[in-house]
Amino acid sequence: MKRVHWSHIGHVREALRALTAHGRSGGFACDFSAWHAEVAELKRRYAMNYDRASPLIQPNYVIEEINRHTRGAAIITTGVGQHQMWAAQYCDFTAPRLWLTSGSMGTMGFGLPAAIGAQIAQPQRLVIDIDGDSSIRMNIGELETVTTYDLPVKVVVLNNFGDGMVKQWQKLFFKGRLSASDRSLHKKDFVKAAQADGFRYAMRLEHKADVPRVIADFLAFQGPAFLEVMIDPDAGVYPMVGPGQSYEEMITGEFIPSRHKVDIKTPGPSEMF
Amino acid sequence: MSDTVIQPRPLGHPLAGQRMSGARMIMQVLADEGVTAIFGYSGGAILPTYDAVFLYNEQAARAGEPQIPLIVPANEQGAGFMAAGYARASGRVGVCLVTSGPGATNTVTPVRDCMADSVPIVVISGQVSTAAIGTDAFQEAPVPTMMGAVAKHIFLVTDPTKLERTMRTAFEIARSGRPGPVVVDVPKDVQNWEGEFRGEGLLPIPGFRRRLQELEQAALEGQAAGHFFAMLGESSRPLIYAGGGVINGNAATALSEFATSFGVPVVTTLMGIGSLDTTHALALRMLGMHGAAFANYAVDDCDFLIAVGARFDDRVAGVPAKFARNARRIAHLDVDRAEVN
Repeated sequence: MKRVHWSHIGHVREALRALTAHGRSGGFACDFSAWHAEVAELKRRYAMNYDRASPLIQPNYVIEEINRHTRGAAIITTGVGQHQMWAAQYCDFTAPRLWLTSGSMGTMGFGLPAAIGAQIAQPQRLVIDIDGDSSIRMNIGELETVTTYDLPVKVVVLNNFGDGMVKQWQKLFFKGRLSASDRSLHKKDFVKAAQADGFRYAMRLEHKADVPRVIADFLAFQGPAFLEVMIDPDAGVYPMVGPGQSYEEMITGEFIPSRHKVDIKTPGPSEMF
Repeated sequence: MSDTVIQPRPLGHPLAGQRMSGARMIMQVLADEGVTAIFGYSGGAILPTYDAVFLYNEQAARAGEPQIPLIVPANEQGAGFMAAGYARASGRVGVCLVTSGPGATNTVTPVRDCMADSVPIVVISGQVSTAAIGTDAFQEAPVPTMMGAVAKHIFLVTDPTKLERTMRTAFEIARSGRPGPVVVDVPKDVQNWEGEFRGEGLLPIPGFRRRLQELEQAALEGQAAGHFFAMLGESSRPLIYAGGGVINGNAATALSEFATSFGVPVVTTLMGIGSLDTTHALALRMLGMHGAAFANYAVDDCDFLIAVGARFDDRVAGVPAKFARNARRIAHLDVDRAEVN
């Protein structure tokens, strides 16, 4: 919470319309071009980026490829965790109500059923559930619901063998002790699970060179489609403003420059997840 | 313009005056509210209403009218999130129809999720018969107590003559003001009761409607707008911080027009994504814990922060004192008084 100098309580649509009308009729004109140039420079210099040279499949690359096809017009749903943040960072959205995610509660398992509901509401839209291997397991029974109603939902599972966001925090703040977050010993075969639930398109993507072709085929498939992508299990979500830190102390990772030199600080015992 | 415009008298509901079961009334109100799909899982205490869905669709098929499909999940949590996905993608109220006990407890998570993200859904849960409530009957759970803590509003219908109005009121509450989830808990004997369908009418909820009316009447006055533009005129680095309230309040077009009219760049929260086309030159994408570096640096640099339908939560303003530290002024537009200051 923050003290504010000016506030208006009411419907934001009407308030914004009133402000726009007031500013236009009063001939409000202010030259913000210097600020626009600063903003453009910030966007250029601190652009989103990741390890493009890695031989492993980077999740950011997979989402960039999906975005190249959807051009910001698809409905994207997610579970909760790293894949949710990568999708938020790398997908474009040209309109409201295309990005469906469990924001405040952060409920793992949201993505698949939300995609089903969205496809029922918007039968003409491309609906993609960008999910994680742990999130999707929470409501994986709904794979069968997709095929029962023959909904053309596209399900992508970015598999990094575990609770990726939990692992990221454990690496940063718990000296790498991966308590109950690593699932590399699991024997789960997601492709077989999808096939068992009636998915005629169910593929596993394991090689970086195949990413563009497989993503194109997957999105073009008419009907329910399932794609498991074996991503770099150590990929992290950057930037990251650690708990209890200010934006100046943001960690941008190896591939995005930072304008401040920052040290990773262990959060205090009462800091939030 | 004349102030004596004669409003045409609304035609009565074609079914007004008919005797029907409570279950049929539930279904009829869903149809009247424009529901195009129901998400749910059946069970003993909701069977009369499942039968009413079947009969409604049978009748619609015969008449060549659109049916209202019932989409069945693997688990009621799925049904709740399907209703939420339907609501988020369309702006319409999502409907979830579940049985008592485990059916209702399995929907607690999506109801809380919808409350936290301001998503309008109506959950109709069957309840054990009124005479059995409180006896630890088969598949009984204390739905009003449980859901009361997480929903925007909860009704337990014990007087069947109020069922029809309760159903309509549930939709009104779910979609108005700051949207949210409403739970209607309907004992089996209330579903099986027969009475006269009125085809109109709401419950009296004077406090809620007065607050809604205050919101409707809260026009932004010229003086306030003037003050706002004085602040904008004094700033050189203004920035809009748009949240989920822009999406839920169907204000994205209005926000885009405002931002482009005056050249104000926009950062959004996770829930505000889509407020402005992310490919627009003024769009600075997401701020916060995992926001874009350029978005967060722009927040650090701005001298006038305009929060719209956003709430300075811990993922965005983890350290409130250091958030937007160079902003000499902050403005806030929101539908919910509780989120300001």
